[in-house]
Amino acid sequence: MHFTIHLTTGCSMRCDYCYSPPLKRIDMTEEICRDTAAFILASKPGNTGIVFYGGEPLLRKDLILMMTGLLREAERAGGHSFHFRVTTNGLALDEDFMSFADSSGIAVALSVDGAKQAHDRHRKTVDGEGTFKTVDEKIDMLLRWQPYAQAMTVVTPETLPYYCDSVSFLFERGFRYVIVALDYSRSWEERHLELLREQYGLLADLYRRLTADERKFYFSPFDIKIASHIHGVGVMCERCHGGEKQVSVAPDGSLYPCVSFVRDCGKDSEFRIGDIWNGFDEEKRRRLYSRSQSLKATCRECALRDRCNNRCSCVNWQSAGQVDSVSPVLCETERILMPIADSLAESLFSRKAPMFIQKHYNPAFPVISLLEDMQSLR
Amino acid sequence: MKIEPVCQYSEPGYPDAGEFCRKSGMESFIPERWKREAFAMGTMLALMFGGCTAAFAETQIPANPGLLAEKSGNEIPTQSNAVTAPIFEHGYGFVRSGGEAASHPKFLSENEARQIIEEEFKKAGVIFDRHDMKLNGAAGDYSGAGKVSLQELELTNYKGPVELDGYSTKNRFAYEFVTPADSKQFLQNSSQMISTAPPVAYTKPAAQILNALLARSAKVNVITFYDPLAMKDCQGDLAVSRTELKAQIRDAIAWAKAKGWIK
Repeated sequence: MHFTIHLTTGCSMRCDYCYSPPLKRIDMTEEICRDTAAFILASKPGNTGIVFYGGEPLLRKDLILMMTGLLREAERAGGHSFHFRVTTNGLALDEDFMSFADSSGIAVALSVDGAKQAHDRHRKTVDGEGTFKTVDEKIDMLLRWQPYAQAMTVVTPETLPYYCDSVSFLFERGFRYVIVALDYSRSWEERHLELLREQYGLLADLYRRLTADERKFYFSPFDIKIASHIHGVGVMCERCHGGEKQVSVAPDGSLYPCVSFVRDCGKDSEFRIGDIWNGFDEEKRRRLYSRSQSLKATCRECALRDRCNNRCSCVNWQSAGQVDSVSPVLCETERILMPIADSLAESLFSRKAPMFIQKHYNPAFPVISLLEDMQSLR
Repeated sequence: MKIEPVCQYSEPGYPDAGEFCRKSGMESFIPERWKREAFAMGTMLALMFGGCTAAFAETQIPANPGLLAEKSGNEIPTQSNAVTAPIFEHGYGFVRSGGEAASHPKFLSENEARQIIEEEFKKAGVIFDRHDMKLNGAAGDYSGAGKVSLQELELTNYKGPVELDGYSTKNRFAYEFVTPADSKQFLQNSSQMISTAPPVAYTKPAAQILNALLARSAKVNVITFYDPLAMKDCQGDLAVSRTELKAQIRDAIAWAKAKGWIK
């Protein structure tokens, strides 16, 4: 079970693609933070992921300290196991926080869109200034503490021309785990699809070269699709299961199935599935989950349906307006990505690239990868 | 732009995990970089074989004096040239969670697993008459002595003894069942830092690390089992886990007979 804790709706940036724009800052109170910890502990899940989220979660470092302390204390008492992560825009990242994250076992993921042209296109300060320079200056510090830190990147139609350059930039800067989401909510046109195809081709060349050189490089669009063939239904288990295996806790203590829905705050929101004091509205929770996981009528005949991202309720809600509808742009982009990823995998497998084979066929690879990452800290 | 179902899609020209495991061994695909990183080759090798090999050959590494039985209490009689059995691989022994989502594994309880193991061995004439045997040392005693040191890898502060679940005085071998809780001893606080799909339980890799440690000590004949962590329809499936554990035991008994551990 994963709990995403929205510590505040406030943010130090004003990214124009934000799905939860900080119109009004609402912070979680210390009391709600304590009650959230109590709710999580009462849920008694065997193994629990805690993601600190916002707005910008580092605006409330005090609450991160509080929640981590409470849950780690419970863990020491026995019966619980937690792993923590925070996703930050980087502006408030400093040595003190990294030291705390290190000692508390909090993985830090940085939202960064890559090359300057791409990053500054959307990720701006309140005053409208690009944040690339400031964020770029934080990368060395982050990777010094956590060489395995993830770069979380959003690609829009406007930043498509820099897609490969941005990923390449992030790799050169030291990131080995690049997680990319396409912003489906924006206005995509046919020309963007051609550009996307072209960029995926360039990215496949980059991935092929790095993997053949035995460099560690996780690039989520390709790696997820390749894994969806290699591991089949097992990968489906790892996909979004909003409300069932993941829950977002809003600053006011309301529960939602996923991060995107928190913006729809309100007691009467159709996506509010309970609160931390009264628990889940089980019927509503089940109904939403069932809707999001149902196979869409438009997808039933599709040969790619089980490898497609068509069951992500957030994406569907943002792009098609319904959790159980698929948008044309999702369909188009998935149809572009799949054959490129498969062709890439075929070429690496046929040349017996050891890093490719270990990464995708050895279930212990993440542990080996961890050993290397930890070793690099020495 | 439109929604357009793909009517036909060629089967990708690379195998799925099952096909790969049937046809290939992971040992043929060791990256050069790993070979150069001698710092952890022992552990690396143990883990690399975690892929698909049916059972990697039993390991017999020169004894390290660090892994000694306790002087008092529930000690195991040490044996010269003791052998650590290979891991008998049935069950993935590894469950990941996604970036935001999580699979729901179900864990066999240690008590139930012990019961299954001991009942199956009993049918083969083996009685485990001693339990919870401790072997001191483990990670802490390996620094500089070999290449398996978990402490060197800063993976964990684990310094406690290795504890084995059962020992047969008559047949002179022990067994250990690795639970998800055991695995955390070896890879403490680290599971979230790997990828977008971090492992939430990883009994097989942990069993392989333990096996490497036990092999290095070479103080007692031992067989290591692990929780198969079977999944079905994205949920843990205890029935399948029990079947897979029994398959591990079946192979182990056949192996032990071949080695003369069971007459």
